[in-house]
Amino acid sequence: MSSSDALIHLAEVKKVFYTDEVETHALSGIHLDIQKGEYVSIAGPSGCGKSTLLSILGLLDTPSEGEYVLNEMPVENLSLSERARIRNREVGFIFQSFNLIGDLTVYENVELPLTYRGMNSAERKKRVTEALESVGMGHRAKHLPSQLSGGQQQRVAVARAIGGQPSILLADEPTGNLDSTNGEAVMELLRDLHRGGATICMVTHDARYAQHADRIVHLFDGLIVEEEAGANRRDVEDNGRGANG
Amino acid sequence: METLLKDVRYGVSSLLKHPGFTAIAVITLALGIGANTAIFSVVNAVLLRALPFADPDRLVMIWEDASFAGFPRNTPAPATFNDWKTQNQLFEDMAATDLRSFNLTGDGEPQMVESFGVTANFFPLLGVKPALGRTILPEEDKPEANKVVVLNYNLWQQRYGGDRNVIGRDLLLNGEKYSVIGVMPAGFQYLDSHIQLWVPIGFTAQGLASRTRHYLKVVGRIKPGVTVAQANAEIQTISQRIARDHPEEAGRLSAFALPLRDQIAGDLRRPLLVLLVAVGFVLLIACANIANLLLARAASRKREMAVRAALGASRMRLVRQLLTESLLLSSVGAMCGLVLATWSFSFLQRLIPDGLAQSAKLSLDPQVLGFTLLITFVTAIVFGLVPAFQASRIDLNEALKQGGGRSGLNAGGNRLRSALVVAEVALALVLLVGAGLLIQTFLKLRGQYSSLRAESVLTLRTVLPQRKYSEPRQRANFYQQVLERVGSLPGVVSAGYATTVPLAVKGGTNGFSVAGRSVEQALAGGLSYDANHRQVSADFLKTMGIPIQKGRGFTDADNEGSQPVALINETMARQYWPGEEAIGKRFKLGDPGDNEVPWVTIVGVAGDVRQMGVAEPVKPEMYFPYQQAGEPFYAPRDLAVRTAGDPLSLVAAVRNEIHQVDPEQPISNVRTMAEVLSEETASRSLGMTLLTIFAALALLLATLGIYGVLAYFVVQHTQELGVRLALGAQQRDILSLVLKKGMMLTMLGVVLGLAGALALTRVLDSLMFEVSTNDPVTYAGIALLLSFVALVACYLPARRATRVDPLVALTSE
Ligand SMILES: Nc1ncnc2c1ncn2[C@@H]1O[C@H](COP(=O)(O)OP(=O)(O)OP(=O)(O)O)[C@@H](O)[C@H]1O
Ligand SMILES: [Mg+2]
Repeated sequence: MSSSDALIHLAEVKKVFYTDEVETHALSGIHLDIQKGEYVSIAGPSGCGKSTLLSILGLLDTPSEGEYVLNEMPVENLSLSERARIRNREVGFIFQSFNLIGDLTVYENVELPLTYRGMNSAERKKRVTEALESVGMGHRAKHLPSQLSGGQQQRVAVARAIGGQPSILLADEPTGNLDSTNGEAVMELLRDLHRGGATICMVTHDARYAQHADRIVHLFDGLIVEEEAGANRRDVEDNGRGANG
Repeated sequence: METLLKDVRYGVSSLLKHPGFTAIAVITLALGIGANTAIFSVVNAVLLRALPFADPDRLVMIWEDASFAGFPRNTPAPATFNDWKTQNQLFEDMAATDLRSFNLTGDGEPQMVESFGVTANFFPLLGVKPALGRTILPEEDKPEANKVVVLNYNLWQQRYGGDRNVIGRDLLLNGEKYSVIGVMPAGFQYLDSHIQLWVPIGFTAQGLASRTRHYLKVVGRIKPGVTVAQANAEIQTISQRIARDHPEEAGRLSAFALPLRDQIAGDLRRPLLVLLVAVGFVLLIACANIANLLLARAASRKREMAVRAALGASRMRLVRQLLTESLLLSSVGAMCGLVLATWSFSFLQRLIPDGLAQSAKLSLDPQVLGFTLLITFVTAIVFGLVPAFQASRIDLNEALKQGGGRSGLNAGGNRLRSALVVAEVALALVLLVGAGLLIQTFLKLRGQYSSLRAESVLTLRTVLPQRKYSEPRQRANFYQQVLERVGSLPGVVSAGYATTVPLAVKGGTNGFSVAGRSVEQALAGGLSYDANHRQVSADFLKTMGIPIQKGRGFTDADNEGSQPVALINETMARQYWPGEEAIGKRFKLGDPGDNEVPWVTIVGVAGDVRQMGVAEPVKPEMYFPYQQAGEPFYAPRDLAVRTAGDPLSLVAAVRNEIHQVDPEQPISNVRTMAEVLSEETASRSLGMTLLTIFAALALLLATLGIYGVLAYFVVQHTQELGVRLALGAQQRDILSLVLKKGMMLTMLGVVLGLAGALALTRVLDSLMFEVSTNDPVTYAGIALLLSFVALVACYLPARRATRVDPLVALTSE
């Protein structure tokens, strides 16, 4: 445990799935620290455990073993509702398939996590409008997701993720369902957010996009095998680097 | 033909592949079609099938209308009958009957039998031949003729073992010798199902001239080609003539003809149609449910349909294939339904009115089977057509759509499913409100008798044979001894004798005159001076739980030697002494000038009991101490015993005491007062029970419908629910999301249902008693009940929704 002031601290995290008497060791002892304001990308071949790691980071799943400290709070053994609460406040998700809710308008989609937080409507309105403006989708607030292009949908999803001003943005293949033009645009958006101070952890296959990050973590068979600095990262003051085992 | 066989074969295998779905659909359909078949079979037996008489549509009852006195269907007096019969042009014939009870003795156990005294033309008029022997000849219908009797089939079988030599045999009725001349065929009955024999009515010249003794029932056969309306008009003309000629006795009376079918089944037409509508609703709800299941399947069969379409099947071909499956389902359901319906017949037989109890048996006759076949087809179309079109609509576009508007994928199907559930809830609510109103009515009806505490009163009947007990002293002696003995049995609180307990006999009235009021004065008031005549022992009212509201009750001191007294009920006091104190007033039975009859003084007013029927207006009633009363016709017959415990446990002991007094005295009609009440409300109770069962069934099906739609919604929206959870929704957020969805549908259904109930329950108006068909408490209660049940049904899928793993948000199909 090298850095207790890290935003995220994972130590010896393991995840085992049991299906039909088959044990899958998706993660086999991950050590990872992410600093506030850092942009980390996770790379590796299919099935190496990237999504699993992200789901643990986002409190969608719990580690089988190991420790996880988020914002100086151990979170591996929290109740369901505590985890939901933290997910809501500390984490913003961006999914590969956008996952906008089809019955809700763009505005309502962005508003949804804030509603779950019990925020009053005036405050919600302010946040939603800001978030939509910041992704350039303010003019589409009343549209339904089905009336938007894929790139636009993903920008709305980004707005939904940042509307609650979470500690960290988690993105799993955010460009996976987009063509390269739209993919570029979304990556640019994430870079802008990072420049504005957001902490981001992103899974991507695409080596070009991985280079946008400060740090690239390579996973193989559930282990971190290599870390490198992103080539296209902007220069930042040294926050110290996360250790790994 | 070949393709049809192929369709059927394919349909069978497709249904067998989904045994769960098939089982649920078949059970639902069996209940729906079975209930419809069962109720239709009653409708068929009661309202559609011909009455078991020759040319029954020309048979009418002719009633006197004494609405002014509260009796719209009154029994005419013999002179009136005679006028109708001799003065009409449009009737082939008219016959009269009166009701008689006999002690049947002389061969074996003494037995109480009910019988009709009938005019000789009675059987020929109905057009029914005896099974054995002959019916009554005109010369036998004379007071001085030798007495003859015609037996009914059941009595012949039970008492005489079906012996054909019974013809010519003598038997004793109330101690008089009658010879058997004929036996009627099995199933023959006219009006009352308890009638076991028929004797000549034997009018005396004096009897036939009476205009004041109203006790006949008259049946007529109108000439071919004459309508009931024409016959009615003629009867009214004659009755106007009678009223003009005899203003004193008949001045306010009119008359009318009523088709015999209406007489026997008229009261049941409304309740039966209500039940038929109810089961129709149940079947509709069942159809909606199955349509919903099929719609859910349609979504998952898109692929299969696409493949078949690709292989060149036309849309019509696909629809036909799917409809064949529906028809298979409904046919199997119908077969199970027929079994259910047959099972229900013994229970439903009680819905058959008394007037058809012997003759109309429920069965799966061709009409009923035809009806079942018809609804089987209609049902299959109703639940199968829309899903078939839905499933066969192959839209390539939809397959290409991706991402975002996920729930838009099946939006059309979902809207339809939601609409079906709303309709189910609405229909179920209408039925529930109907059932609620009937239950309320039933409770109100029963509640009227709560002061009687009828469950702890035993009643039985001892009709004293006139020969043996011709002297008042002999009778008094019998009553006194029986009351003393029974009264001192352990467990007996009190005992009393009366002409009849309330409801057991309706009627038995006497005209009376009020002291100081002339006939002209009396008639000017527009009242008929006519009240129920009851002779009672001192403790009868107390035993029956009828309170003395004013004055005093009878005591043993009111006897042969003391001043003649009477108690009257509140209605009598109110009607004949309005705004006056009735106590102390005097009246006498019959004419004021009749010096044989003493004036009696009113000493008390007894509480009203609805003695003419649970929903009939209370009739004026007068009680006399049996020791003082002259008329042996009204001598006490019914013994009432109030007990501390279960009244039926005392039956043997009471019987024994009576036989200690007179070992040969027959005892009949042994039952608790509660049973008397139940019998009175039996058909209402059955109608209420059936409607409640159907409403409950509707509720169950609608609940399943809500559950099904919501469960499917949750499955369909697993991804979305996962996303919401990933975004930080708490379990309660998800719970309320799904509950809200379910309850929205429910509430929409409830609102529509309430509106529907307001409109439709009006048909129940005539069945209500002191309950409005708009009773807000019932409506609110039912709406709450339904909402609560729906909430429970919504809770299960909602609960499942909260268990969705938020991880599904990360997986993209
Ligand atoms: N819920 C689960 N149950 C069982 N095994 C699982 C489950 N989720 C993931 N796995 C297994 O864990 C391993 C890691 O899966 P994960 O989804 O994290 O891979 P990934 O790196 O995201 O792959 P990809 O790049 O294809 O998305 C795989 O072998 C996968 O089969
Ligand atoms: Mg993955």
